[in-house]
Amino acid sequence: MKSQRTVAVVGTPNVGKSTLFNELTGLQQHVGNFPGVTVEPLIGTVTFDRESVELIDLPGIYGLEPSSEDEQLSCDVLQGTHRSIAKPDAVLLVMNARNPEKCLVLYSQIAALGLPMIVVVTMVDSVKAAGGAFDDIGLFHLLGVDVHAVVGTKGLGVGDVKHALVHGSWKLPNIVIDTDATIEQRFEWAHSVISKVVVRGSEDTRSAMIDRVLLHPVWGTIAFLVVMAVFFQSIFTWAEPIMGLIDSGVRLLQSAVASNVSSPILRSFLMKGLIGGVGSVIVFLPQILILNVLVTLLEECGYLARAAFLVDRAMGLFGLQGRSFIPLLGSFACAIPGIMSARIIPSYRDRMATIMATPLMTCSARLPVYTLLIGAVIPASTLFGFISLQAAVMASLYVLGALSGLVIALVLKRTMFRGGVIPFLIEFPPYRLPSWKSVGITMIGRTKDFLKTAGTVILVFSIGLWILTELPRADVSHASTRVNAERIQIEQSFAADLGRTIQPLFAPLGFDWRITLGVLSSYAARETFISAMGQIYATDVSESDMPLRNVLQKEFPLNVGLSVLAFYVYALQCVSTMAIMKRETGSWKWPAFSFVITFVLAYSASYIVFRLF
Amino acid sequence: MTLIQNLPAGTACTIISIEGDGAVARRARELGLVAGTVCTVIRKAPFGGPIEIATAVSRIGIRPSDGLLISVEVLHSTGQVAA
Repeated sequence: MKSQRTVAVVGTPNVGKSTLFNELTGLQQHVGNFPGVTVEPLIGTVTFDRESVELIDLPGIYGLEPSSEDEQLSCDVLQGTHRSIAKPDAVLLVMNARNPEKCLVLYSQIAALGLPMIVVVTMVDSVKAAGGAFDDIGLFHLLGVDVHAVVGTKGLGVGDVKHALVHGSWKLPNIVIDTDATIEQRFEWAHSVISKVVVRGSEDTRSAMIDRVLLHPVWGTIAFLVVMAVFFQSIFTWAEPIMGLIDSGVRLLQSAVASNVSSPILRSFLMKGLIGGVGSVIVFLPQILILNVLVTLLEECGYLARAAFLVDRAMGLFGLQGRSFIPLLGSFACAIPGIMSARIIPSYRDRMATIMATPLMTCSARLPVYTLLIGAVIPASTLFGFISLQAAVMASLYVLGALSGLVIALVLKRTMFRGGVIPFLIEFPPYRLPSWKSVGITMIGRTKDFLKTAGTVILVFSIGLWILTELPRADVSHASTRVNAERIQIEQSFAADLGRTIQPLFAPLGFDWRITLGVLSSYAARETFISAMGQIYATDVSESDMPLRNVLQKEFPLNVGLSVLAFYVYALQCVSTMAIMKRETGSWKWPAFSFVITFVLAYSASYIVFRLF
Repeated sequence: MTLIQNLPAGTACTIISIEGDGAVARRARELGLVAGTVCTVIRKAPFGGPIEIATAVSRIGIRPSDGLLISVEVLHSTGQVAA
């Protein structure tokens, strides 16, 4: 039994559907949680006059014959054949006044489904600004359903749509063409409608002018590199101060616990297990948010489609398409938003191959590990008199990771994800200013999503790790310093037992039980390696890596240091990434698969490096 | 009659037929590249990359190598090669 009416929001891509959905539902939306659904549609509630209607935001479609996972979902839901999402009670069809042909072709197919409908036309203001006209009443007479004009980016007319959703007269759309009509016939019908209700204004020359620069073989490439540099840079520089704030917030909480909780075991649990563990993931939230904001902005303003066009040839070398670029780039900050942004790839196979490549992009959690180990084992000399050897090693680790990820994608595209290729075919939307409100709403949704998915897994995992490293409690009464006490604790913990037990597995890589333990603890978050090493070697305060680096310099021969580095380049040591991967692919099978291939690669690479040097 | 990717940038043409892989050809038609449509090759990405074509109402990027054969009849060259 249904408590409220469910209305599916349907439209072709780039009609301003998401903006309208955000305007209508505001923050009253959440990712639908349907069992076994990979692409989860957003569900929102529209409330008007104390009555409410549930909206389901379906991925954009051109017709009822899907060619991607996203489109499959829309078609199944609309036709009532989806196994867990019920057929909606009605349809809200979004049309774009500047570009109505494809919308009308879609209408001609949706109308045959026999669902009551209202039509919302966006960008009527843009047609009028160009000197044209749009006859919504005329369209109402032709289609037989209510037609509402809105300016989504400014929120104009949205109230009328809400009113219509709650109180409006839902009419069945006119069937305008035979169900077996060809696309050509449908376009013919669309043209006939347009000639009656639309007066096109002057052409959109602005977009064409901008494209002359942004798609130019030389200037376009330069502009692309600049955009990417700014994109990449801002993820780090803008996020830094907020990450610092979160970090000090976590410390503040920890010291509050330290001074207020007297039971040592409870204190340790709260500080390290709970606050420390969860804090180590929350600290990446700013990067995740900024990356998501930037991707959404690039997409909304119309540049993303152009960027995909520009890099399509290069990505094609690795069996991927232009759109795979954004998730891969984002993964240099953090694989989590990278994997989430892979939703922009319409082809299931391309998306999966891209997702499998993302964990190999050097994320910011690897950076502190690289910095520590390079500082410890690579001499601070120069190559050819001006290139720092340490910097060269750092750069080559980035290149190694990226190339390996792309090769994995290529291999997967040639094997598991072979066939059924959707060639690169992308529509360039006109350039437009993004709706900040819509971007903000999307952001808040993504944040909640991340915290829910990664947060719960991380909580469980960090509690587990705490149990391993802090139990059984060691007798630290004779320890001279706090750090010394921590060393005694960790050397007598379950984790140390575990490290010693499985150390033979890592012996061929040159890892002793201490490194093994450090690597194991990294499975909560990679940078944990540093604090683990700090505790194990117990030289000085774990934060200041200067003394630790010097200790490691003595402890690690070159081949061991390089072997550990090679392991970190490849290994998927991030529970949050695996949790997001599961969420985005719909099954634990894929994160498990990724874990295994990256482990095999990490192990082999470490072994080779250890033997070689 | 020729394939659209053989035309130099700036050429206007009429689409005669779209053939190739079923799903792809259908997607191209859904984007408005149907027989009889007049379109212009706006620019071609270097090294055999995708090409951009414009119809009266939309601009579309296509990678021509992918099982998608768009046969066209040349109308005229605008002489205006998009920079």
